[in-house]
Amino acid sequence: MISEFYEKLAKLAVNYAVGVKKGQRVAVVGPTIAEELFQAIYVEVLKAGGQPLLLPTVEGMQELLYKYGSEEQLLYVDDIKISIFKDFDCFINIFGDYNPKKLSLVDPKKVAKSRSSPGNLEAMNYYMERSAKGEFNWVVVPFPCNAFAQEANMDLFSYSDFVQKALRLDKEDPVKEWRAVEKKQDLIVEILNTIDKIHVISEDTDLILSVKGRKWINCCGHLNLPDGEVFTSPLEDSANGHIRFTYPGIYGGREIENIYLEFKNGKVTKATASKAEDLLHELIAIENADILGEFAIGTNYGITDFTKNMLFDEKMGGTLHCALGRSPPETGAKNISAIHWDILKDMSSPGSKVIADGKVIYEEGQWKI
Amino acid sequence: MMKSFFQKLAKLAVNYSVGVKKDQRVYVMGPTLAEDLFQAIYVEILKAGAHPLLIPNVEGEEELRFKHGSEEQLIYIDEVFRIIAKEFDSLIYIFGDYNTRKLSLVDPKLVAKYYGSQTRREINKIIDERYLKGEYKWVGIPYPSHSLAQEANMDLFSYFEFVEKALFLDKEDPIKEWKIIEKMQNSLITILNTSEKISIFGEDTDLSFSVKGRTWGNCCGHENLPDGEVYTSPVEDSVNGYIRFTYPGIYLGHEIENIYLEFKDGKVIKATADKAQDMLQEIIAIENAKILGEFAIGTNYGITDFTKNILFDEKIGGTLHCALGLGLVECGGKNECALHWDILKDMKPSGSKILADNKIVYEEGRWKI
Repeated sequence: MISEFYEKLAKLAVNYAVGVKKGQRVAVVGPTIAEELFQAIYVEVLKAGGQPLLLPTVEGMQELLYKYGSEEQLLYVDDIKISIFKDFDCFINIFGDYNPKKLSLVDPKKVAKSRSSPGNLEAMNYYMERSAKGEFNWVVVPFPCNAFAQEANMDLFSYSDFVQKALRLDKEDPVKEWRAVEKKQDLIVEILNTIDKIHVISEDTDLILSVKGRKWINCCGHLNLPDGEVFTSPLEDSANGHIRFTYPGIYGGREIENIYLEFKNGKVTKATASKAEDLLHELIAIENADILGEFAIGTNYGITDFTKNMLFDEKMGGTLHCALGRSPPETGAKNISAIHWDILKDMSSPGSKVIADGKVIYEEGQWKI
Repeated sequence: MMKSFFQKLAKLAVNYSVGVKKDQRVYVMGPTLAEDLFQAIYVEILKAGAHPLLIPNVEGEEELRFKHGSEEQLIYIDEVFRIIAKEFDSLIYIFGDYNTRKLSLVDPKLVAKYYGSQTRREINKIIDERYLKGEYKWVGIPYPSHSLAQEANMDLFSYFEFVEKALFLDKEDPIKEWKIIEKMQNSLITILNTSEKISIFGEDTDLSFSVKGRTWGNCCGHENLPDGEVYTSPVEDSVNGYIRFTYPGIYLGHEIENIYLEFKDGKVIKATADKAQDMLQEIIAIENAKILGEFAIGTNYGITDFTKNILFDEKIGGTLHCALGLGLVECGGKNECALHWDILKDMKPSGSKILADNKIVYEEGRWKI
């Protein structure tokens, strides 16, 4: 019997997040450890009249490819994989792992090269184009596993409870809950879309950005589960001031602590950290990674713990996050960079606020609009 | 022990059976439970310089499809599988199971619809044509699992040893062993190819048929592992006489015991059994299933047990098997049928023999040529 947790998660993903329709081709990818979730999603796709194609990834495939593959094999992407992004209607990506550090010993340049192979870029282009046109509906859903629990310093059972709360699977009708979030955030986004200037004030922080003409996006469970954020991209040359991030920035499995950034006319002019500062400097040295690609506010108050998993962390209610590098094009922004690196700041501490065109709209972790 | 088992099996399948070459595209399918074998095969394909595509089947996929799918969904096969059949160079099919009776409660008519769908026939046709032209190599290989051990009335560890012996994985160089068999059987079929008439004598058995103009196939590990048989398709209207099979015939998980068949001018005219006689009648009522599609002799003396798994059973040294239904085109067989159903006879008891053009070629389980 498929457990209620997976059944609810599958229904949410299939019926709400991607909204599978009769006759649609639905690809489901994820690690083999997520077998039970695969089964639950399979049933819901069938019930919705869709045609499911389950593509579980065998444990060890990535690391074995780096260990034994030639350069040609590393860059090879089969047409079958490209076809998923080119021809399918929906895509459900199960996010789970048996070891998030499995590529730690692999040369990062090799990884970057493989990820930006012509085949992967072709797949990525189909994915971007077709999602922008609404022809390709996709969502990332989490699979609670020991590896993620371990990163979060938890046991699997507490971690599953954490995931349940973050996705509102503890509520009777999670789809209804996410619809309510959607509606509420639509109102917030409507107001934010009229704003020109954002001013963030907090501990060690006084940062001003222009968002004039940029679009704010409502994240309410259609692309990510869990979800809960509103984001935009600041004008590329507008960031001025300084900001201290309260959570460690994580890159390639390494933690950069107590990050402090100073901006002038859009660019980082000073960057310090109390741990792994050299890595921070390496990141900023990447082309266009010294520009803010995203500014966002997390709105999911069901997420109360930082678990070193960006899918969850960036949604935490009472936090904001900034991303250095590539900007999401749906906001109207234009920054192109090889990275899009999110870093988080707690905004629930006393005195923290976000001011929009001179009016306090957010204070100590709560909206004031 | 298990690690070296999977490594040896993978090397045998990749380097000998399908003989993967550089840059080829290789499709590997099987159940998720065979994860360690998937990994071993993946590594060998990479070492051979080729491009592996692993698509494991999630546990429950088939039975959930029957439970929740509409008829349209049941017979749907995604286009990616047609592309694979058309474009790939080889297929490695891992046979393993978590429950061999998983479809027992499904209406056999639905199962027939599922396996006999238009799309599946089209895809099989593409595969057959490319296989005959030597463009598409495939091999079925076993994954020792609890459920297969259970069918064989064994524990998993003894079952591993059974499989090891059957595939010569207990030898230092299994590939060398299979090459010897290939050579030996080549001389056997050179002689058999010149024979016109085959007669079989044994307990309750006096059967003869013509094999004039038909060719014999040498099964030596290229399509099946384990392997070890020589086979042909008798001339369709030439079968006369009677035969009693010593092993139960297995159909959709049911056992039909003590099968006795009488033939006249190529067709079954009498069929009896001790158990599941009605099922036997159902089988021969299928169009063209009264015709003998295959006659074969098992030559693998490493297989000493009947384990209710046709991949192994039909190869048992000292047995013969006949298949009702579909003839084998590669031998010149012409019978078309939705079914190809193998049944086994022990040929070791005293007095058992096979005559080719009135000369004894096989006696009491051993070749005489």
